[in-house]
Amino acid sequence: MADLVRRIVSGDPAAEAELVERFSRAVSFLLRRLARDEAVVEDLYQETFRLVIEKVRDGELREAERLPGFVSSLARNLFLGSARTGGRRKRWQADPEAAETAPDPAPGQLARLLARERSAMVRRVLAELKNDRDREILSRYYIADEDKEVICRDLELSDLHFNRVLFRARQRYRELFERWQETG
Amino acid sequence: MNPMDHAYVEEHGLVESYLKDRLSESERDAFEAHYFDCATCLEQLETASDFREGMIQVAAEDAARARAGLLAGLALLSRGRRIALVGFLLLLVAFPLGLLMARNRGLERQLAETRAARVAAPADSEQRIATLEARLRSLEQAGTVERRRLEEELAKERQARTAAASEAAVPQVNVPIFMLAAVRSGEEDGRAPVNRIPLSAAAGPVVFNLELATIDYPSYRASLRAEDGQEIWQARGLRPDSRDALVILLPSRMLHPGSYRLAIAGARSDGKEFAVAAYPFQVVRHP
Repeated sequence: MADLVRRIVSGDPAAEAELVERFSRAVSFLLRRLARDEAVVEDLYQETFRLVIEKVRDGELREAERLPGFVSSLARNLFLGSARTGGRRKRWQADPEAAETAPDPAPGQLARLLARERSAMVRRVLAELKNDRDREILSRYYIADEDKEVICRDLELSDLHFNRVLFRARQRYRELFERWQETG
Repeated sequence: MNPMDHAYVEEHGLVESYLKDRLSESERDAFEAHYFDCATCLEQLETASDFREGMIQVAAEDAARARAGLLAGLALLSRGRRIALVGFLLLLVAFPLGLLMARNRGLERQLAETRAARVAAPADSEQRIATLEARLRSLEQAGTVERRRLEEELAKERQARTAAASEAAVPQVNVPIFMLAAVRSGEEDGRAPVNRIPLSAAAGPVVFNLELATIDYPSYRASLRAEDGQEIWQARGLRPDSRDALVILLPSRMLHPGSYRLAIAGARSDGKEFAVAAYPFQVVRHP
């Protein structure tokens, strides 16, 4: 990490590319969690890396090992700033010409395909569960948003059993997802 | 921010807590710093988040399918059969006295469900339900004749609610949509509401579009109060749509002419609420 920061400070373009590659997935994941609009995510993603590189070059990152936290908090703060000012949407409202280039906020074809596949894979995971109680655990936890402690108390489950049900379901989902990615 | 190690993340189930917004701000920041540099945690987060979304999607699909199936089933019944169905349900209500004791428990449960569903009910209906509930408690000592009468009254109340729900399920054209403007605190004092809602006597549902200035909270609570300060509707756990707006459909029979105040509060993951915006409006009737 220290070497990467040192190279960015010295203006090495390869180090900047390495920084983007290293944190790209995490920045995308965080921004997608915060902003639902894909166009906003795209804007903030670019802006996050632009600012990180600028600030690291200016020596604003004092401890190199804090780089991951530096990137994550910058991405979060950018999102909060954007949400406060209304972000892209407000700019489009103020400038009708810019609005013509605004992307359609409705989910695209790829997003719809992914959603369909995801739903099919979850259905398969649920169908493969051995008993109704495991299905109930997943429904109450993920859909009804109940707390783990409440579910465990109601169904007289140990922490371990609860974690195992969740872990196996997610594991199976991941297998199906990876297989779909390979074949797709 | 304390550095967080992988064992701590596993031990405390931080992946799930993070996705459910159950971490404190400092824990959340520390975990974000951790998974930005931990491929294993990031992968677990991606999978768990995807699976969670898939579960919610499956539930939504099933609910939509069940709704469509029920409506289609009712539509297929002839008028005669529908009447027969209603007659059969009435017979069930008038079942022998021996079953009434057992049904009493069911009735209490129904009341609980009705209370839970009352967020969409007008205030006078809520009052009637509350009265029924109080009277049902005193029924413990009263005779079964009174109990049966109350059961019938409750059935009528539920029937009225079902009719209202069916009305909402029918496609409607030119539903009035109002974009409400928020006011800042202090701007309301002594002034007439900036939002005027002209409704005809025959109006069905009304749609309110509330654009939020901030979407910093995981969920929101909406509360509608009449001029006298009485709360006539509220809902929790609301999430803005992709345009950062809350779109609320209200039956116009809830809105008699007068002034109202629709307040939106942001709810933090620890349950604390903060006022976000207020939308005062005035309902006026026109022929």
